[in-house]
Amino acid sequence: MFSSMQGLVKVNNYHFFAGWSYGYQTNLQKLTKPTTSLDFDAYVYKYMFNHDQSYSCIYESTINANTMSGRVTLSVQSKI
Amino acid sequence: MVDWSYEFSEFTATEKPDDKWRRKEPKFITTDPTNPQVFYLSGRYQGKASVMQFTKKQGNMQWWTSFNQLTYIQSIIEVPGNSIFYGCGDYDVNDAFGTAITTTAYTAGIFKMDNDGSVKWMMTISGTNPVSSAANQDRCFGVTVDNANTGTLTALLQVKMKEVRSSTYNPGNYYDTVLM
Repeated sequence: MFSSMQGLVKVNNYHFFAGWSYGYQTNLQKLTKPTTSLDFDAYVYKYMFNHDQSYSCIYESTINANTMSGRVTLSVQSKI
Repeated sequence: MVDWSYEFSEFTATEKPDDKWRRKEPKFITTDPTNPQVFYLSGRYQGKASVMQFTKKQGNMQWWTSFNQLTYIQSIIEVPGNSIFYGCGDYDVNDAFGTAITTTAYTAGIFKMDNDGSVKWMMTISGTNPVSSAANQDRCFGVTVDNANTGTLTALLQVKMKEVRSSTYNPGNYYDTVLM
């Protein structure tokens, strides 16, 4: 999946994110595109954090907060 | 009637055509909720991610901030009623012209600025490509205010870093989307 520039907005409790991909697969749908002749489609997903799992549609996993924090480096002012 | 215009000319006439200093990519024009006299132009100038403030009436540049650890600005957002704003993008680590955009290495970056041009903080986000021979490519394409009262943000990341991707889906040398 590729994300689009300025590709995230929040409306009430929902995050909408957009981008483009060649084909996609969710728990409910699948669209296969040839990798030899790329044919891209745009997408928009509507997502809510901490949603009821019975509404799960996309393949997702929760990232451990410490794991994510470990990939983040706060830059010192002199290097920005 | 054109009130004013502004040209971003070449840095110098003698540098090579592929020199990074010539690289400029204006991307966003945004306003200031607390100052209707100015606007911001953000994007890339002289090879680096940049944010500039101009007056609306005269087109005068008030300040220009460029980032050493950011090459592209992919998103910038205002905070209603506030002088601060947030942005994110990515840093072409090697800044290697001639390297295809699909194979060069990137780290993601998120920053907070005030309308006086000062950068309050900046964070970089990076990891390791699961395919060791391929470039590390972690980028940021969106940022939004999750809760203005608590100052929390949500970022849209496009990553290959193996450290945060679930092994359930057998991550490879392709991008996954992360909301952080």
